[in-house]
Amino acid sequence: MPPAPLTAFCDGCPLKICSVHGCAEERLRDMGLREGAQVEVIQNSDKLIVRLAGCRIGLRRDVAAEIYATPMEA
Amino acid sequence: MRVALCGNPNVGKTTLFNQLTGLRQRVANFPGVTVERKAGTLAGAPHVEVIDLPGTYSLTPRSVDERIAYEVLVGRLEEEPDVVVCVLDAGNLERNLYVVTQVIDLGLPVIVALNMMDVAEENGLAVDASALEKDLGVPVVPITASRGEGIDELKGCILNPPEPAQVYRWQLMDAVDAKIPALIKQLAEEAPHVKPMHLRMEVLRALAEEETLDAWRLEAPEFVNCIVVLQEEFAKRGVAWRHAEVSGRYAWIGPIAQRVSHRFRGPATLSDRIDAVFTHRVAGPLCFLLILVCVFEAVFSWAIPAMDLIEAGVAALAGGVRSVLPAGWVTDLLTDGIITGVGNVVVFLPQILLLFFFLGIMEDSGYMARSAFIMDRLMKRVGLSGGSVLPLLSSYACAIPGIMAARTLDSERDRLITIMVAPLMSCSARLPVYTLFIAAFLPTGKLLGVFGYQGLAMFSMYMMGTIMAFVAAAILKRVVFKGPESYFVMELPPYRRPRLRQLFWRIYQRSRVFAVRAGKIILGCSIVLWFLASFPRTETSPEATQIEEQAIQERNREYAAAQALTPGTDLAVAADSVALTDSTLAHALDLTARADAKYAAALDSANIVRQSTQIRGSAIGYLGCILEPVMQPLGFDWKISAGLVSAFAAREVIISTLGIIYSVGDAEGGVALRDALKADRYPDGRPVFTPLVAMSLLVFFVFALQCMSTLAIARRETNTWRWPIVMWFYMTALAYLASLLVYQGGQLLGLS
Ligand SMILES: Nc1nc2c(ncn2[C@@H]2O[C@H](COP(=O)(O)OP(=O)(O)O)[C@@H](O)[C@H]2O)c(=O)[nH]1
Ligand SMILES: [Mg+2]
Repeated sequence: MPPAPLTAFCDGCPLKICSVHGCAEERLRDMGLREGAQVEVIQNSDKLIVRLAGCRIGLRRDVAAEIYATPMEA
Repeated sequence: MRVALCGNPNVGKTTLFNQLTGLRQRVANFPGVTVERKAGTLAGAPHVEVIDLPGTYSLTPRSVDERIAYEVLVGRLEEEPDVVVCVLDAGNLERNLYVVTQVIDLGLPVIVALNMMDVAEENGLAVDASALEKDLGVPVVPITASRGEGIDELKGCILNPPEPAQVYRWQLMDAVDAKIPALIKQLAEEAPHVKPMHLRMEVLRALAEEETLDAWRLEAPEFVNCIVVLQEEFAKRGVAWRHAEVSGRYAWIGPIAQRVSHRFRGPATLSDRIDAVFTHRVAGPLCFLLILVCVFEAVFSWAIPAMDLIEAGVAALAGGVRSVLPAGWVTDLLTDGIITGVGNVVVFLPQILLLFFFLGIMEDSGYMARSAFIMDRLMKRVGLSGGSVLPLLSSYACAIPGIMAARTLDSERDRLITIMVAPLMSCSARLPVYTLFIAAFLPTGKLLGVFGYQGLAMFSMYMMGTIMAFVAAAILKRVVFKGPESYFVMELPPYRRPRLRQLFWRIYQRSRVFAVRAGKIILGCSIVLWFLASFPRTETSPEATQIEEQAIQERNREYAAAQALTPGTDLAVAADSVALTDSTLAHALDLTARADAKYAAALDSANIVRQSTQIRGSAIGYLGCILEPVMQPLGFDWKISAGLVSAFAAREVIISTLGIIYSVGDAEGGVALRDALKADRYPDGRPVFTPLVAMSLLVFFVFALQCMSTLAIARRETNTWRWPIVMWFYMTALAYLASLLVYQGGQLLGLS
């Protein structure tokens, strides 16, 4: 399955990040949202919350739309 | 020896700092910048200085406070620290280790403090500290900073610091790694002042980051050229150079984090469940609003008893001083100037403390991050981001901490805009002014039997300021600070129970800074003001003398009339006689008593006339009279104008000024001033203060920037006078126009 932006996934999806773009990309990588990181979308509404290893990160929708990921096989 | 504490935000650096230093700490500023430098000495080892650095996710700084952490560590602001303690959240190892790898690469001795061991355990996570120590090659000490566990081991480790690492423990992808030595050589040639240990780091930063590259353009043009050429080459070959460093570091620490932490239970999801409500798209903002309303309600109602107590105390003190010292201008200065003036500030300390208390709870519990997150959508609409929520909320207490809190913003533009609009949020210095005029001139009734008019008026003052702050931000963003959209990303820390001891310690520190700063200015202002109002002296007042003379004549006349009723009896003696059976005599005595009362009242008003002649002739009266024509369209007379002049130093000073002008000290309580304001008349008999004038004045206070401390702090935070000056002019113009609109509009509508 080709990578899709985080905003396209429903709550509770375990994902693997493929690429990070946009004006926030360096900040996102600093915070651990980098290529290869495993995340889970906790909330996908007017904004997104993703779980990453031991923390939760809140994202504005347009920032999340520039992070591409693929679902992980369970 | 100097020890720096560094690590991600919210991992417990400050908690650990407090544990390490006990109460031996001081807050100063880093030279040249105004980020607080929190330093103290290690308990039991006075030769060791401990510095608490701002939280940072990486050594590639993006906000003002991150830059400070970076510059301290590379020795640009002050000498490099001798040891760096990297504080980690044991529950979030992988991400936290990232910045550790960067600090190790700087060639500094590193100790890892593995914090939040209690939380990790509660959440079903075991972390093997000794395995981590072996893998990382630096000492690792597990601690629980909030309970003081492991602090002694950490101290021991600090006093016997390890050697700095000599080799790089992680691998760059080969394609990039092959090019690094040449770049290092090139940079070393062009910029010999860069320390050899930092060269590699600088090269990697310049490679991945536009700003760093730009920064070298002047000093090392050839180096920049090489990098640009290399970037093009990489792009052609499809090498992912942009995240080469990030990937390389994670390739090292990812497996380590996996190896040393063992999950023995699934992750706790209590925070997630709370978040499901607090960040819900509908319920979230509602909860936030509800919490805000409760906080403000509590701040205003809980503070009242304490404020009354302080007011009474100040009045008693002034009265006591007055009764002990001989009458004279020194005593006047001491009581009317200094004690009353400073008392006026101290009086609203309870409100500030309460506001800091609630903001502190919101911060420590983790809710503040959520409020930023849910408000982001609204803030985006006016051109800001959720990051501005905390600075703006703090500004309800005082614009100074609000402006300083803007440092955490990633975008420099957002930071400037936040600083520019923060003073529009109604701070607690406006509160006494609101209170005085609302209580004096607005009806006490209730709208629809529920909301009190006075409460509504107070609420609308706050709303007016807040809405205007948003409008101003939107305008500034479109007109002055143009540019691309900013982004918003925020870590949402787990909900935690706030620790009271820490909370109180922080409240104490913040309010002390506030009180000292405000106190100094108010003290100075009060003294200056008192002199301005007392000199030049006007010794004679024909008007007052005339009133006195008239009063004497009138009393004599009435005495004579009474005497005529009862010839043969000396009224002065009869007043003391016990038996008052004679009704004529009683009537005559009644007449003289009334004459006496009238006389006393006349003397009082002669006194007030004399004092107000004095003020009118004084320097401040002169200023007020000069300004009167400009302020007349707003409905302000020379007294209010004089008050406004004095309030440009600090808002609440207007109350002391009006108190001095109307010669009612605070000793008689706010009620006296309220009555004096209501009673004041123009020569033609119109009242000086009508509800409309009061509204106009209130609106003026909502928008005007009348606070020297705010200007000073804005100057320091923006490093130029330009922004504070712009801020002052736009806010003053706004205040004038808004007041003009209220007063003239109100008159057109036939209000008074
Ligand atoms: N349970 C627990 N909480 C801690 C510990 N250390 C710090 N905290 C809490 O974590 C929050 C953030 O701590 P703080 O020192 O302000 O972090 P900083 O941003 O790194 O300076 C505060 O509410 C602390 O009370 C710990 O070891 N255990
Ligand atoms: Mg801190």
